[in-house]
Order: sequence, then structure tokens, then C-alpha cells
Amino acid sequence: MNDVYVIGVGMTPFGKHPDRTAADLAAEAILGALDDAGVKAADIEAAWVGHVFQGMAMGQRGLGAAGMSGLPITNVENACSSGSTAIFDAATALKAGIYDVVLACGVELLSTKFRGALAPDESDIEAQIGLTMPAVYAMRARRHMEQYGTTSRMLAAIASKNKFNASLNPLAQFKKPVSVDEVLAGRMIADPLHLHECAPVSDGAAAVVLISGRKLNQLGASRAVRLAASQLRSGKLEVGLPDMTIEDLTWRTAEAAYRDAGLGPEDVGMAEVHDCFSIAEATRVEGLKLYPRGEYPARVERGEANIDGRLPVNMSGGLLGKGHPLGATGVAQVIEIVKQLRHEAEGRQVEGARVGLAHCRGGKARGVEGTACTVNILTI
Amino acid sequence: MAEIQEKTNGPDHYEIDGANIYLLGSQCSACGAAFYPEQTVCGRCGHRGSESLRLGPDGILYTWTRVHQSTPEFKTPYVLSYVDFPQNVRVLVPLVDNAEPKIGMAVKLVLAPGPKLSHDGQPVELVHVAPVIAKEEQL
Ligand SMILES: [Zn+2]
Repeated sequence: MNDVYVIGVGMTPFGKHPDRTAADLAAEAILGALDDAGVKAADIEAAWVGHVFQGMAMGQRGLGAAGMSGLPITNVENACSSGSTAIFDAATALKAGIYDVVLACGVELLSTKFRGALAPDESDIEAQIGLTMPAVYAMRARRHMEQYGTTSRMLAAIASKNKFNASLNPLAQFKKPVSVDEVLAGRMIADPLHLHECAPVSDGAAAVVLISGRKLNQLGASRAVRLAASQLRSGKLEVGLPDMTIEDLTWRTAEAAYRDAGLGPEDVGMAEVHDCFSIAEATRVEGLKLYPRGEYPARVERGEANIDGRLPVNMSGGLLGKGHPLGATGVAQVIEIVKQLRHEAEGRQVEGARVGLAHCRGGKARGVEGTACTVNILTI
Repeated sequence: MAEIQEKTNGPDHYEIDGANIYLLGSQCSACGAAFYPEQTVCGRCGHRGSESLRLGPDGILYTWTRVHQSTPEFKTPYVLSYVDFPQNVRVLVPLVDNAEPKIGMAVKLVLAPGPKLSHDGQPVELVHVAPVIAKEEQL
């Protein structure tokens, strides 16, 4: 199998862009990624575009706005992992030797479409009795509290950390730090999760240019970052009474990615993980085995996951701070790791890390713990 | 003998047998894995074919949340819970919102209005769980 490298990244600011179109946002990210990679539109052999709610042929609209047409374009919907699934698909084609230069993009324009709490698809039997995404995570949070002694204050510390990191990221939706007390004073969305513990509604786009190892030898791109593993899994239909604090889906995906990269959790120097809610960061980081089960929230309170901590998590601000334009999220996570490994994360640079992990998982359907999960491991 | 009423066309699938309400799930006829609602192809072994399985009427509260923000078809706040049934199946069920729920408490299936609203804004009757009051507390 061929090696895969990221040679260009581009993204729009995340936030509210009600005056723009999704195609226009995607084009900005795509053109930024091409310029950063130093390649021309005509060099791109195929493209994958992830989104959740943008309607038919989003990819063709976005690439078209960037002046690109005629190439193979695939639209990808995989809930909140749509963008990172686009990366998985693009990387899989490179590994197989089908192409040498490809594009993966994620985009979402939600602020003009959407209000209130996100819920599973309306045909889902659990959605029909009132299950919302915050409710799913609130119920996991309550189990984490019951089983490990996690407190609301510890969960608030996760949100506060990510809002602070976002204040260091010029492309993030939230510009101001939020203290633990301010998180706890916020309005309750689904008990015990407060407003600042839930990812916001966001608009934005992100794109990466990926190339094969043989192409890298030709181009000699000096800022290339190796995509050492890109894995995708889906949630298994649950049988029996599983422990809701354990992310089997995250672990099965991570285990495959660690194996592909020839690395283990102990080698990871930093991580972007899918913190759609404060508790989600905890169960994910524990599911990746980056921190011991049940201990993550207490360790965040002690500063271990800060940018200058033992193992930094969500340096970009995460979904809670940077924003969560669903389809764009998984691509933006990979971009943050690339910037960090290139030593270009000004103001929030992690020192010394050579391995970064991006974890994205999303969606809810009855009977499964989660719908889609990706783990991308990047190295220099 | 009490008449058995069955309802499997709404958001919850249940059967009323006398004073008791049961949720209607299924059990794989090959490996015995149980699911709610009924699943004809087994999610564990792939066997095609299952038997109907009654869940309840009693269960244990696994976890819960009080939902304060939802979609427009629901009246907030309301309490949702995951309930573990002795038939080895966990089901999402609204909890009647009158007491502070406690993880591990015994609950019983009941019919109650809400939180879902009909098109004209009236609470829809759904299967809920309610705390089982211990005998000594009732006295
Ligand atoms: Zn079976």
C-alpha cells in the first residue's frame, strides 16, 4: 500500500455566516488548501466532499464555485464524521494507488437552517419520544458521575479549557475565555449539561490536499505531514446492557488506526477529539486509551490536558470552542494536527509533539452506541 | 380473562394485559439475542427469524436526564431515561416527571401523556416509566 501525506490545508473561519452560501464557503477552503499545497486545480484527480444537511450535489456546487468540474466527485454523508469520512475515502484511494493527488473537503451551513437541539433522524423511534443529542450525552454524563465520582465542576472544566484554547485560535467561533463558574451558571440544556458544555450551531468549511508517497518524492514538498493511519468504523447493534461510559466504537476504530500506524496510545503527543459535549471529550479520550478510564475529567481540572499539559486535547478549541459545522468538523480536526506538526499553530503551539491523533464520531440511531467514527493519526 | 391490547404502529410498541403494560420486543430464535423494537433479522448472529418478547412490566433505571431544550414537537422540560429490563434489553422511555429520579431505582411501565405533542399541541399518550413505591412508603 502507498503512503499518504497531507500537503495543503485550508479553512474558513468557523461561526455564523448567514449571508454566504455553502458552496462559497467550500470554495474558500478548497482554494486555500490548493494554495497552501502549491498545486493547481487541474492537478486534483478526484475529490470527496462531506456534509450532513446541505442537499443534493453539495460537492459539485462547492468545487464548481472554486472553478473545478469534470473530475470524479463523491458526496459523503456520515453524520458528524462526514468530513473525516471524506478523508478516509480519499486516503483509501491513494493507498490503493488509484490516484496521486486528491482533495477532501467538509462543509456545513447550519445557522440559516437550524435552531434548537439537534436530534436523530425523525424516523428514529427514539427521536419520536424526544431523544435529542444533548439528552444522549447528558445520560452518559450521569453514568460517568455515578461510576467514577465525576462532578459537574470537572465537566465544566473541560468546556472552560476548550473555550480558552479557542480564544487563541483566530478561526474559532468563540473569541472569549469562559470560566468554570460561568459554565456552571449557564442555562441547563439537558441536565447535567449546561449551554457552554454543548457544541454551538456553526457554519464553515475545511479542505485538505492529500498525495501519495510516490508523488511526494516528485514534488519534494517540505511541509508534508504523513497520514500514518485513517480508519473508519460504525457502531455495532447493541445486545444486552452495555456500560454507557465505555466507547467501544471509539476503541475499535482507534485500535485499527494504532495498528496501521505501528503506534500505540503512549506514542500520541496531542489529540483533537470529538467534544460535541463536555462529557464526550472524556469518554472519547478514555476510549482512545489516552487517559485511564474514569479519570479524565479530574485530570483536566488539574491541567493535564492543557496546551502546555502532559497530553494536550483540543488545542484548536475543539467543537465546543472552535465551533461545529458538522460536515467540516472532521477535516478541521486534521488541519489542526497538521498545523501543530508543522509548528504553525501560533499562540497555541504544542512543543515537541511528533504524533497527533484526530478522532471524530457522530450521529445516533436506535440500537447503536454511535453511527460513524474515524481516527486519523498524523506524524512527522 | 382480561383482553390483551396491542399497539405497534406508533413511537412505542406495547401490549396491555390486565393491569400490566409490556413493551414488545423480539428474541432471535437461533442465538436468543433480544431487541426492542422487534428485529426480524438478528443483529448479533444474522439469523432471519425471531419470536415476540414482552419486556417489563418492571425495570431498573440505568440513567436519566431532564431535557430543557428540544425540537418543537415536545413540551419541555421532560425526563428521559434508559431502563434495563429483566429480559436483558435497555430501552429509552420517558419517566413521569414528579420525583427526583435515582439511578438504580425500580420503575414500572405506565401510560401517561407527553412529552410529545400532537399537531394541535395536545400531549400524546406514550409508554412511560414511573417509580415503584415501596410498600412501607405507601402505608
Ligand atoms: Zn441471533
